[in-house]
Amino acid sequence: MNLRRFRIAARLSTGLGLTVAFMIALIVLGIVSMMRINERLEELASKTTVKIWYATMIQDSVHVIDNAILNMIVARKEPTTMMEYVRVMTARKTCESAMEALAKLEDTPYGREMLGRMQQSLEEGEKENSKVIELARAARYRQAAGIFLETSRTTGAVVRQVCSELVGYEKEEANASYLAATRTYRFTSFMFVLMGLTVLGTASAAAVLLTRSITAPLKQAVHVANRLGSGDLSVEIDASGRDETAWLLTAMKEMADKLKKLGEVEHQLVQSQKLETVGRLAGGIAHDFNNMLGVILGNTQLMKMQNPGAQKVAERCTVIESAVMRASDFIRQLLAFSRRQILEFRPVRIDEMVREFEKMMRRMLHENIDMRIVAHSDLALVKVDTAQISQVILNLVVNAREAMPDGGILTIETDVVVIDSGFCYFHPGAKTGTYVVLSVSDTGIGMSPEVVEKIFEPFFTTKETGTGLGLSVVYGIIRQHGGFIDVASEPDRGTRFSVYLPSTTGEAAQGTSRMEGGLMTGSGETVLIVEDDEDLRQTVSDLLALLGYRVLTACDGEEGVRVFRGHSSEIDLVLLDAVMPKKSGFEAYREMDMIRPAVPSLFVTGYNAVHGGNSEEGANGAGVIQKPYSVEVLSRRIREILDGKQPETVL
Amino acid sequence: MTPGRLLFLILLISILPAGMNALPASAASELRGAGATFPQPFYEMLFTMYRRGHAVKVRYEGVGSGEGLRLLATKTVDFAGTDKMARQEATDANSGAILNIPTCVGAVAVVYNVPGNPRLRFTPDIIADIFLGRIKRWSDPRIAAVNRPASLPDIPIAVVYRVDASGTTFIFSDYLAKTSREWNDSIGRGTSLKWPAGQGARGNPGVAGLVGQIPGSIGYAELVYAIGNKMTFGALRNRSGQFVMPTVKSVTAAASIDLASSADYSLTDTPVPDGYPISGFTWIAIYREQNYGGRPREKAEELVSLLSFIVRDGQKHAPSLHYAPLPKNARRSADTLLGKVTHGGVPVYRHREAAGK
Repeated sequence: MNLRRFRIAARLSTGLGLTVAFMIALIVLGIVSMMRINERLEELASKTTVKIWYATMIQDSVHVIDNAILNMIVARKEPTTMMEYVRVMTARKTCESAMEALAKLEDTPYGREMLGRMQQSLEEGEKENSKVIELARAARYRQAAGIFLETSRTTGAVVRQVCSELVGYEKEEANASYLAATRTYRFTSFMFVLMGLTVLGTASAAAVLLTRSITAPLKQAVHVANRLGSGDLSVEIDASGRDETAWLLTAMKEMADKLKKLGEVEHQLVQSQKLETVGRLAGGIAHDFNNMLGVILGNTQLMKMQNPGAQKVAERCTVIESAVMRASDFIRQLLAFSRRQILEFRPVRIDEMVREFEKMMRRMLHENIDMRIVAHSDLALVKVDTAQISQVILNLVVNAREAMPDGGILTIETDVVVIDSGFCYFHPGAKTGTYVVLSVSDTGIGMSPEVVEKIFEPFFTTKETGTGLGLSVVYGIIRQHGGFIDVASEPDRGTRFSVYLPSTTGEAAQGTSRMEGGLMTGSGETVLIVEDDEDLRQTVSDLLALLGYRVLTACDGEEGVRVFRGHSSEIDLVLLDAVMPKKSGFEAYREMDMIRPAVPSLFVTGYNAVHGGNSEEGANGAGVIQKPYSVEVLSRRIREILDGKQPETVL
Repeated sequence: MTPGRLLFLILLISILPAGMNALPASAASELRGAGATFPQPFYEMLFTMYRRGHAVKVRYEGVGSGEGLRLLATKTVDFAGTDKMARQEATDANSGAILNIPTCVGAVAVVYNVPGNPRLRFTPDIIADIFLGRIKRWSDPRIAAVNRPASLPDIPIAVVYRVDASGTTFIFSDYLAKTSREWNDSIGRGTSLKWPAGQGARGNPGVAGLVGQIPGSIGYAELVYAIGNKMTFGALRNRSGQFVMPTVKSVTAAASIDLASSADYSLTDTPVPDGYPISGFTWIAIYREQNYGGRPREKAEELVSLLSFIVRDGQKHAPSLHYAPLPKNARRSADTLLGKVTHGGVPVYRHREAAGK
């Protein structure tokens, strides 16, 4: 029987209760038996004493009778005779009473027989006595004396003898009974010792069993606690049973499980922090890189514009331009990962996006891959940068394709989920709320947990031709959207990427396309360029001058404000680098705004310096342009602002 | 020896027991009595004396007053000794009237067996409480209170009482009923009682014997049994507040009252200052009409003769056995009663006297 099915308290009280009950039973039994034996011994003793007493009484009486008769004969006087007769009567009655009592007490056949004999001899004696007394009362003393000497005395002797015999017999009987009682007593005490030992043995065994049933799980608990303490969370915990130790072990098991999950979470946190650091690094590099690219691009375009006739130069310049654009794309990807890209958010339906994309995705897939789209989130809107999310989808689809070189099923699913705090606990970065889930799953080769850990790191790739930026870009984009990504993968079974994007309410926007067009020239408007990179400042200044603007320059925010103060009425537009030493572009803009409210301005930025959030400046009549920008883009944005056209921009 | 003589011998042997058997029956010279053991020694002595002057054998068996009256009613005996006046039962109307002839006055002694045989004094309530089983030890302070400076052993008191229907018990309980309300309410008076404690014995000799044998015991018996068996007995406080020992003198004193004022000749709790309070008359009960059960007139005459011997000449022998003789008025009343005895309607006593003269 498994004792751990019962609580310790129940076990202990039952065990103790049983032991006490046994003890009490034993004590009661012992006392009762001893009392009975004692009683029997006492009864025997008193019975024998009483019998002997009665026998002695008879002897005495016979003696009294003899004595009285003798007195009668000797005294030969009437009152004396009568008085002695009174004694005889009394003695006879005493004798009778004693015989009666003895007859009641005697229970052995031999004793009864002896009593019979005694009775007989007493009766004979009485008969003889009566004769003598009769004669004495008739004053025939001589005759009386003769008969008395002849008969009564012998009868008396016989009675006395029988009495002694009876006494002896009674004593013998009593002795035998006493011996028997003693034997019973010994046997009983032996039995008690035996029972006592049995109870003791049983109690000891029960105690050992009980103790073991308590200490064994406790020892296990100590072992488990030690192992857990040393960091070994894989220790096996047997929490079977229903008692307190089972509760303890269950609690420890839960603790171990939680610790395990906590460990995983911690790991994930470290992982995301690592990605963050890498992203920051990449962002820093990209900023300087963009400035350089801007100088290269600007000068190349200046070269092209300043040598209109030189076909060869124009061709070379175009090559340089396209190389710069590729480099710029590369930088953009890095920035996307580091979440410092400028995004344009619009509420859209993910399922619609997926459907729009379907044809293109099918083109990307081989025929041996069966693509299925399960779109559930008909009503849920998400605020996303459609270009970025498209890239996420494409990246994921490409990854799925790569994972299934021998074909398989690719499923794209959309759904709405509500995330609670429990889910957030194990997914750092997740917040409670309603999310739209976009999941891409394949039935491909899958990944080992070690690989899964690293897939979001930039430059990590399992493919020979990969850049290692695809998934890191996805990660950055999703984080920038306030969402998170979850991976489930099993080698040879497939992988599933689930992208969680916070849902929003609002009208879905119609897709807008970027305006494309040629150079737009200025007509003598004054532009203040605030740019810390000297080469870039010079380049932009040359470009704008060439386009027909009047150009003022400042090397940082402070100087920019100073220049602005000096020429506040002449300046039509301020071109501000967002990131500068001393005073950032935004700070400078705030001061300029105080000097002259709502001055038209255009921020130039290599990356989104202000994390994620919306910037007020964007809504305050300011535009944003991303580095490195081509002269076409720059001229068009300047014109748009000067002409009062403002697309919604979010920093 | 000739065959003829042998035959005669055989005949003789075979006839002899029958003849001997028939002999006492044919003789009118045997009177049988039974009853109280209280006056038995007195009777036995007087019967022996009477036998010397008359050819009459009297047999008396001490079976207790109650049994004696029963035997009289069944006509087994000619007279019954009783310490309680026999009452005329309505049911035995055909038996005729019973006469209660007083014979002497006796005393019930409170006998005890206490180591050291101290002479003790008792008050009625102490006696009542001892026999009620309330005083359980000889060392009880209430006993000690009336017995200073005697020291009593701390042993239990064993009460011995009469189990047979007894006149002695009647006298004793009559006394206690008069003096102790407690006793009167719980036990009352009678010839056989429900005793709350103690051990029973038969007859005065039985009580005397048991008390003599059991240390710490106490009982009640006629004075002669106490003295005859050399037992110790106590002095009792009488109505006048005196502690009185039972003696012929104190018993005689107790009986010296005006009997006419006493309804049933009761002498217990006597008002006489030096009278012993548990005294009592003892009677012989006979049928007034003696012609019953085929009894010859001679038998009636012998009976009356015996009884008149007891109430007249026998009285002077009473003190030698520690009984008190009948007071004068009682003796006169006995005489009158004997004169009422008839056989076939003819007075027996007068006839006998006339015949004697």
